[in-house]
Amino acid sequence: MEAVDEPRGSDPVGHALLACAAGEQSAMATLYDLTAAKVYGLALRVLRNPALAEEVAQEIFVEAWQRCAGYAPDRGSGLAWLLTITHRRAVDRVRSVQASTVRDSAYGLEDAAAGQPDVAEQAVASVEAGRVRKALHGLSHLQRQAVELAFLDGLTHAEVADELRVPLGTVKSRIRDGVTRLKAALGGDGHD
Amino acid sequence: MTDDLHDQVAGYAMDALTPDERAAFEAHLAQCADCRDELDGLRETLADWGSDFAVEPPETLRAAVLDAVAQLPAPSAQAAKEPPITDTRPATDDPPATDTQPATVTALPARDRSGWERWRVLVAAALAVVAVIGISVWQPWAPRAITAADVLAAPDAVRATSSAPGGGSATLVRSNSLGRAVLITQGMAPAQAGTVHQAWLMHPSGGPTSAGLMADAPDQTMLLEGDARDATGAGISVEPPGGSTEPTTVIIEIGL
Ligand SMILES: [Zn+2]
Repeated sequence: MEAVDEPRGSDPVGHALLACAAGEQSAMATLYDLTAAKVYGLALRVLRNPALAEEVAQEIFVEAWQRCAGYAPDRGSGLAWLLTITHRRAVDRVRSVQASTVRDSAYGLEDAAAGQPDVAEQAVASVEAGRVRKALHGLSHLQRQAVELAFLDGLTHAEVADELRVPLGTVKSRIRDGVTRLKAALGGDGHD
Repeated sequence: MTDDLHDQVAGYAMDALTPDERAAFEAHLAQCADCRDELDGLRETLADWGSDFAVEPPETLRAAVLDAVAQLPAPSAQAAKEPPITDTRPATDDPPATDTQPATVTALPARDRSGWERWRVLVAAALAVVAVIGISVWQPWAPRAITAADVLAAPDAVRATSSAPGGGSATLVRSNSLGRAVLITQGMAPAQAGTVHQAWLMHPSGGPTSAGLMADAPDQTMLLEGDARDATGAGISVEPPGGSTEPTTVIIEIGL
């Protein structure tokens, strides 16, 4: 194994994180330009509120700056590292907001796929999009519902069980199987 | 517990766990290279999926982010202030060392306190340590090793105390969610020259398993080695230097 501090293959996001870790302020602009749409878009999808998503996205980039020294290229891509922070922050915020306001029951299953109308219009074309959508279609109906409620709406296992009216154990295994299947479908022809 | 902690990795990757479950899984993650590898893979998959929702943010966000970062110290300086456990990962797949004792152990109250009072002070101190460390716990790919303080603060911790015939006492604290146990000794006579004290875990089936050699001190808090899930008790024995594979002379037993 050579060059431990180089991200494997070409990973511009990983490179930017390593440069941030070296204290280069300019790398933050690079990181932002490479990832802002993905960070903001995922936060918006989970939070469903543009003002909140903007606020959380700013917190995420600040956190990325503070934590980039912990990015380990041998463990994964820079984007996966950053979107892990993004998802965690967005979900934690959605839960703290929901703790004070009753969950809007209009967020039904049908709505979950649609999102806000302007979100769909603004969506940046992604080369990955077709691949992921196809992989999602390979899941059973219940698996897909369960993983979408958990990942996209930030629900806990118990909340997913409640929403789908199936036992908790079933939800846990559907989420586990669903995400495993998704990984298998996306795995082989992945990056690089 | 029917739920294997390994099975929580998908729920953890998707942030579908409650705060308690998340903390328990992070403790498991620090011990389990399989789950860390699995998690790395799942994060790539979820990043693919998460990228599907890309939307250009408002133009003002860029300047807001860069201005905010410009006010902050460089990351390395920032990271240096953090507890070191979160920032260092061994190059191998082995989990980080688990035998680091919380600094609070040295700050134990004087020996004349009653056991219960000492216990309360110890737990309060341990909780304070956990609260400080907790802030930096969840950093991606840097799971933190379980400490004695984690076990003492675990919501499902159970404990039992026994007195040693030769004076002193030992308290066993076990958390099934963390799968670890802690042994706290007070006023125990030190091992005689040419011998060591060895700790053991008792299990519902099978013989005792070694939980490590004890330090030569009358008062100590020791994170026991080995899986303590469903352990039924612990013991301390006198052994030749280097320890033994089976207890020779047991000087105290604590049953849960
Ligand atoms: Zn595991």
